[in-house]
Amino acid sequence: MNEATRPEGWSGETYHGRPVTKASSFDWKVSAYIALLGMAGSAQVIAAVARRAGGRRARGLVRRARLVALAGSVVGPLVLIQHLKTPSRWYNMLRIVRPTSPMSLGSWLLTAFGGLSALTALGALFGHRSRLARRVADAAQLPAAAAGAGMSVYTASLLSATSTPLWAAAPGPLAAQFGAASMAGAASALALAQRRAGEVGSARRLERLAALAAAGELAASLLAERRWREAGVGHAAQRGRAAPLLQGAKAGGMALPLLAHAVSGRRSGLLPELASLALILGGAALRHGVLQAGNESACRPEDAFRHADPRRRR
Amino acid sequence: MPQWDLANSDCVLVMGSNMAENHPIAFRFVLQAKARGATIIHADPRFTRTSAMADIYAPIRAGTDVAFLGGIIRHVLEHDLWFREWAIPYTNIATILGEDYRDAEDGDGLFSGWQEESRKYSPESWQYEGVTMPSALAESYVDTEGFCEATKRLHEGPPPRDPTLQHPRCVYQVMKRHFARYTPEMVERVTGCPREVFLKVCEALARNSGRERTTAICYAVGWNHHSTGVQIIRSGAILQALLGNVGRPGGGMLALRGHTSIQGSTDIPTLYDMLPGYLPQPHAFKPHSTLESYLDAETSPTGWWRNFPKYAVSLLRAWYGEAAAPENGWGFDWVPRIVGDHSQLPLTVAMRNRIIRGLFVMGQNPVVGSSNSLLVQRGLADLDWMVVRDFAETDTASFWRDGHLVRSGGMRPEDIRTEVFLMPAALSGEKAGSFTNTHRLLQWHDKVVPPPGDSRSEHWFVYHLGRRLKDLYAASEREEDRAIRALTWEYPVDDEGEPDAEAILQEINGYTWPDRTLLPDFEALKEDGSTACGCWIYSGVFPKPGENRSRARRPDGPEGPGTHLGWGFAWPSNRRTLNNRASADPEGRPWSERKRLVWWDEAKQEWASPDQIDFPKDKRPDYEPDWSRKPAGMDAISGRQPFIMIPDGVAGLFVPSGLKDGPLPAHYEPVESPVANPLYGQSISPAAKRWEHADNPVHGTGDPRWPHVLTTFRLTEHHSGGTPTRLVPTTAELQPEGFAEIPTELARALGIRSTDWVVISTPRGAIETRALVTDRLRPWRLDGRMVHQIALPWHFGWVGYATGDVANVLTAVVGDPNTGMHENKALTCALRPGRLRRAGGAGVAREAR
Amino acid sequence: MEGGLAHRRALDYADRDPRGPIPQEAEITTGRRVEPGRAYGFFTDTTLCIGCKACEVACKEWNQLPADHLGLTGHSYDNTGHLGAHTWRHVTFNEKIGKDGRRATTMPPYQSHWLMMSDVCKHCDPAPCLEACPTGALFRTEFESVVVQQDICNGCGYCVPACPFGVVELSVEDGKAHKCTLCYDRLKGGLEPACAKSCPTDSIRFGPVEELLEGAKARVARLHAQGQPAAYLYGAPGTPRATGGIGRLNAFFLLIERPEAYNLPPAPSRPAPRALPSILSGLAAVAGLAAAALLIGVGRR
Repeated sequence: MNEATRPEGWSGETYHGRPVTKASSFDWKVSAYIALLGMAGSAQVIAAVARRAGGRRARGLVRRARLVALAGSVVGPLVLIQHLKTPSRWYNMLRIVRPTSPMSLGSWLLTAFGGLSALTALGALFGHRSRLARRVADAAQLPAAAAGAGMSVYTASLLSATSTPLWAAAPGPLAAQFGAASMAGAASALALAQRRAGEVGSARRLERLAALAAAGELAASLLAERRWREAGVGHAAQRGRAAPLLQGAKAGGMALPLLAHAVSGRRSGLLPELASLALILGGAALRHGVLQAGNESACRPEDAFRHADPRRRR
Repeated sequence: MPQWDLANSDCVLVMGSNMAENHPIAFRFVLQAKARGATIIHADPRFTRTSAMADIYAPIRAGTDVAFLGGIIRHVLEHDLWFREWAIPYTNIATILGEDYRDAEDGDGLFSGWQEESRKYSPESWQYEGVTMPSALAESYVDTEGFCEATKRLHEGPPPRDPTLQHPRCVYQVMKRHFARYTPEMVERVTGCPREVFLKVCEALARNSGRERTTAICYAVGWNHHSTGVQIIRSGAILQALLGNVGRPGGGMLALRGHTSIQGSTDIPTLYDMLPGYLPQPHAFKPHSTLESYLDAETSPTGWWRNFPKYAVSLLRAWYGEAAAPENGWGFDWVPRIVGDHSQLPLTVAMRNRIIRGLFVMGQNPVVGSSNSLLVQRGLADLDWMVVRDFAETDTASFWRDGHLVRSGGMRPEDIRTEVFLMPAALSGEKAGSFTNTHRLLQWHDKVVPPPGDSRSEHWFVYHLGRRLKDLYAASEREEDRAIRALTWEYPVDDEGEPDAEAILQEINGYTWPDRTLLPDFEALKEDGSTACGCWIYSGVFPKPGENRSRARRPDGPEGPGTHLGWGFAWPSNRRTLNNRASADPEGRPWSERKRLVWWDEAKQEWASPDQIDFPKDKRPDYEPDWSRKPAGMDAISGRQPFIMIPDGVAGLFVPSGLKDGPLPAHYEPVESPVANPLYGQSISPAAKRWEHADNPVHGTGDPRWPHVLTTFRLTEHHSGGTPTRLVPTTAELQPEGFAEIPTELARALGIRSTDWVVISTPRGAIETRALVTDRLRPWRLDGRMVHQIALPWHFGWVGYATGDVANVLTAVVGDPNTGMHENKALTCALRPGRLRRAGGAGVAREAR
Repeated sequence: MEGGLAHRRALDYADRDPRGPIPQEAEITTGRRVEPGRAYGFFTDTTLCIGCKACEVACKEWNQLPADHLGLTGHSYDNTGHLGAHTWRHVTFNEKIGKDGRRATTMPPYQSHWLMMSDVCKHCDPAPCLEACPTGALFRTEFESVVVQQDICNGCGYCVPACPFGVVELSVEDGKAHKCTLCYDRLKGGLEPACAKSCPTDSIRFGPVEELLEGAKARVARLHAQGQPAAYLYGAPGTPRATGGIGRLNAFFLLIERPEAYNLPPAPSRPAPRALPSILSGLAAVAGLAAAALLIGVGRR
């Protein structure tokens, strides 16, 4: 660790090397939820954009995006409830509205998103038979996209609004990172679907969007790392157990697919599909890596003391 | 002194005690004193939680307390810092000794009177000029030629004194000479305490003593558990008497006693050589064959102990009731005689020698708590039967299954013949009774919940055991069985057969015979058999039916006075500060307003105080005995002599009778020491009790095989033998495993880190335990070489959640000549990293956990 | 003779029938009544702590918490380690006697060479755990303490990383969050919390926070006068470098070394305000990408 980043006055003393803060109990189920719901949320954003930009020609894409959103908002909460230590009381999540709690707001957001996704899914499932279903779905599309945007990023805010040094040190970059990863994931998933459906042109536009999101993701990652370095809490991300995952996500899940999309140009074939897959997995790996590294940093008293340095208070 | 009186101290010296850890409630008052600006000093071999609260921490090597305190005494005398106006009238500092006395200075560590063949002192040459003093203890009798006759001279006049202190044989001059070589340099050399720290302690004590200020000394078993334990305590008492810190607010010697009622267990003793109220147990080799000779030998001619016959006869009446009569000496013959030392240490050896065949273990865990645990375990294996009464199976009760002998493969459980009976015991909340705490305060506690299952109180157990024994012997005509048949044993019992604890307290308080009217206090006791009293000093605790004063709970409020006479009952007669006459000057005026406690009220012609006066209430300060009439008892004590229990009414700086290892404290090394005594050629206490036994080897001074000093200690988290705390999860987890504190330097040299396994050994045995490396212990530079000290908490055993090897495997059966108290605070050992290699293998897994 | 003087109200109960309850026992033991509507808390004066751990035991006994750790840590006399689901009082031990390379023999008053502190939930105001709790299981009581309602908590675990002091924890036994309740049940019965009552040296003081604060400030001044210039309050309102983003700690401390020596964060911050800037940055990123998608013409063939 860079000596210059040490707060003045603190000699580096810890209490027998014991943790100051406690790590969260968030495990792979939570990272899976973040990745799934991020994709589902961004899929709704894409659906709204496609509906507007493509009109009827975008029907296939919109339908698939709505189905991705539905799948995410059904599977995601089930995974999340499994993470609760008393899952039978999951409904207490909707007992109150706590404006200070991103988890409370997130629960309501998830509920709204789930409902809206169900409405838009009506269009996807029954739109070809029922006008009503189409109308309802179209009316719900914009709100669903707004909720989806929230779903894409709120999990980062949830992490930042804790005392875990790594998460708390970079609230902005972390959310940008999560949002970009969600968008990259959704665009890639839909690109794959479009290619399977033979809509190659549409897929290529989605791949371009995914590449752009990946660039954003990469930039946000670098920014987050800089913040961590400045705050002196980056050890877990750079040298800890999650470091390989985070580095791997950056290289194999952002930079390489970005490059692949850039060089693949107009060609079709395996390369763009592999790149899309890598972007999806990279986003998931990024979230899991951030989660793991955060839990590790919570157990590092050095990180906690640097994070709680009075001179850093703004 | 009451613990709460510590709040009035201007300086508190805690020594031989880890007060904050082992007496945390009493330490509250030390912190109150500190809040008012008092100086707190801790002198100890270890930097403990007590040291952490001190202003001055004086590190001293274990077992060198007399050298340290002797150094302070010398400093105080040499620089004339003592409280002259107090000490000259109130101590024997001016008293002149006989011509035969030779000091340890002249005998290279031996006082006059040493008898090499019996390895004992005769105190004949320690007497005052022309007067033989009975011991100030209850055991007045001293085994010297014509003792009883010689002491009668006390009726003829006080021992000769020279208030100018010029006489070469007055105690002042003798003491000055005796302590002359206890210089700061010598103190540093012997104790390892840097001389500037030592001098700071001297200055603090002197500065905070005198008319306006008082200093208290708090000690505990860190002083007792030495072969010189009594003389260490004596050193502290001499210092306090020189500084005038006795009987005054915030001054005194506070013997911090452990457990809830360890004071009670000496008042109504579990000791072998005393009857209740500090009356001597009849001894087969003393002139105790008849009541008459017993009373003659043990009654001090002068002072309060002149009343001894009243207490002895009343006790016999309480015990033998109807059967006691003048013609059978009130049943005196039925009281068992002792023939020697029957204390814990020889008891252990006697079990091993198959002299003792059966054992009751009640409220004790000797496998963990007694010296030389392997000897104890072998002794237990040699018994025919053992009854263990406790709330769970203790290490002692399971020695035959999990003990060292079995684990090491030396013995198989099926070969141990001892039949063990485990009797479940009730806990304190499950029975009624009283506790007597450190400052002699009796506090009653009620039964809160019934004990579970078959658990029973001590009252129940002993009462029914006695009742059954009486049934067994009811028809016996044999004379030796009369003792059991004659015993009074009628107590009202409830539905469960539990005897009424208050009825027992009433018997202790005393009543008239035969109409059983409760007595107001011990002044009502008589020697004609018309009163019965179970323990004279407790008399007054139950003066009327329904008035159990130990139950009183009325503290003093914010307006004071702070003696809290309405809270509990302090023996004797609810007096809170003993010898409190000394808080007034000889004329009866308080020494200062600040330290006012007792004064003579000329108008009322009596002593006045917010406390109860520890002096005859109406004895004028100018009263002088009329020696022409050969006064006896209290008549021979003048109005200026506060120490009424002592035959000459003054505090004994020099003790002519009653001590078995010298009239003045002299520094001796512990029996096992890394170095020879720098002060005298006589290295260890010549009179120290030793028991030669193949299972109890002790090595000589400076043996290189055992280079390190070893001291044992207690943790606040555990209680003594550990049964009440190691078996309870919430306390067990606080100190979950046995360990040894090792100074950083030694650990570094041996490559030991905290929580590593280490093996500690002495000639008695070896144990394995975890290391706790700490700077709180320090290395000592003694005569040019480094000596390290290791410290072991001794609570651990194999039973319960918190386990560890038994520290007392290492200690020796060696003790103080006066008390038989073991020397477990200072010995020597060897240390190595690693684990024990065991022959058997069984049980090792348990420790590997 | 002044030692051990009782509070005036104690005299009212001196001759009472011991079988009946005392309506406001706190009045005898602390001199103060426990009444709803006031903020109560702890003032833990570390300079008076003798590390006896009576608070830990009293807490576990009263609250029926299981023992949860049975191993020697080698960390001085601290074998408890940390606060947690089953440990609501924790005494820290920090040996300073050898810190200067030699071992001191004279010391500034009060445990300057072996630091001990009884740590506890700070009952922060505002409380990060409470602000994080999505179910409302965590709530602020009528005594301004922060308590987890066990019949509501679903073990989401969000309060755990939210706490800047590492206090609250999920129990492996029942999967719910647990922490100090300031002995909510005792307060309701007019009793002071078990730890404060058991503390032999009054290192732990219980009372209305405002009154505690006054006493604490006086104590600091006295310590400065007595030769302990390092004494300061941690977590008390209006004291420097103490509370960071949190208004005040209803359980605050008097320390003589930097907070880190006691395993306390030097300036704990309130996590909740970080959520808004975070979500805005995230939404901006998503909005940007949505706009890009429009430009790219996502949806067109």
